Amino acid sequence: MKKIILITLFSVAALFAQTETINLTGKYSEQLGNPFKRVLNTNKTETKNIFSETKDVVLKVDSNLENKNFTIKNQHPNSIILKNKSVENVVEDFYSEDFIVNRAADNAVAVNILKGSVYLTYTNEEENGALIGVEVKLTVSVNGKEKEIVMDQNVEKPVAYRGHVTADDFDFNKVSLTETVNEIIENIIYKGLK
Amino acid sequence: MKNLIKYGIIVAFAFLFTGCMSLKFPVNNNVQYLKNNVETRYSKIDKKSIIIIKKETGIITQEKKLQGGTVKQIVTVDTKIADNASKVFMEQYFSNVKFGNESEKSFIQFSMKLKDFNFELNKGYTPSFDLKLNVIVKKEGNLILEKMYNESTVTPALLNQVKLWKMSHKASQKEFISESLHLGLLTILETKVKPDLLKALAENN
Repeated sequence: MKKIILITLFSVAALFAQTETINLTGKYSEQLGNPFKRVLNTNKTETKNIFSETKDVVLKVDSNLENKNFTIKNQHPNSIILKNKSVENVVEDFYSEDFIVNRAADNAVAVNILKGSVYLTYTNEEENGALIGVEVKLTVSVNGKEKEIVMDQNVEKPVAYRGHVTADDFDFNKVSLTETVNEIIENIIYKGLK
Repeated sequence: MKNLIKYGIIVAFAFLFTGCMSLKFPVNNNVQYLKNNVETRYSKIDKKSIIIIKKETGIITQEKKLQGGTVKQIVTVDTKIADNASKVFMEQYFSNVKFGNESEKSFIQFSMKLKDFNFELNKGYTPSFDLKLNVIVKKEGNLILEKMYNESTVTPALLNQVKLWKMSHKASQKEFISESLHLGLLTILETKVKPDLLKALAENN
């Protein structure tokens, strides 16, 4: 009897399984590299075309909590949809340091996300199941060349403040999970272009 | 009588050892802490001149009583560190950066002054600084950014096992705290000041 109730509960939970959508804006990637070059418009004469396909990439969200802890598991989405077209916003940030960037398909640098996944790490139940880790794995294709890149919430900050934090970094509640995943994805794409 | 003198001496000793304990943490200026910890791979802008306005130098002292007043903690910070941090930060992106004064012509005039601070050595020996910084930026003579930053920075020992090991050696504890402030200033410049500066530059282009 107990089993039946549990199974029913889980199937109800499955019905409510959420999905969230990420549209990359370049908010994080515009801080990478030498952003002053981009802002001050220095010595730019050459142009570069960039292109990303219009498609949705589904990132499956997994965690270290097995189904047993269903209340916490239900707090995070089962999958996150990444709008591949918005990758152009990150690619533009990368190339606009040295080039005038156009969004056109011909003769373009084609950057697409082929597949990916998200892995969440929670503390155990005694510690209230707090979220302590977000890891994103993406396969990025740059002009047909594939790269698989894994990065966590610490991203690849410049050495200056690696391991050094401000008060904001401690507060996971301040930023939502999708926001954190968004930041990691922008960092991954930027790295993939280097 | 003999006993009385004995107890008297013991009591006197007890006062001697508990009454006047003080911990001194002088945070001295060390450019190497900054230079060792910045990004050097960026391609730099060479045609724009940047001048870092040196602020009048001085020492800011913070005195605190710990453990119910038995231990006095004195932290002194050399305000020159903020000037050096600004210069090293800018040198990541521009190749023409030097110290100067307000009358000198330049593309950007940048100044960051340390107004006040609060230091705490938390449990687990994570040094944390609350910093009050005043940033003023002029572009070709026009004021484009003026802001007071109240930020706290922490060097989490847990994330930094090697440094935690260093902490167990008393002599390097002072160095570690000193380095922690240097890195804290760089962190604030990178994560808080840079986005504001970029926005201000884009708006006044």
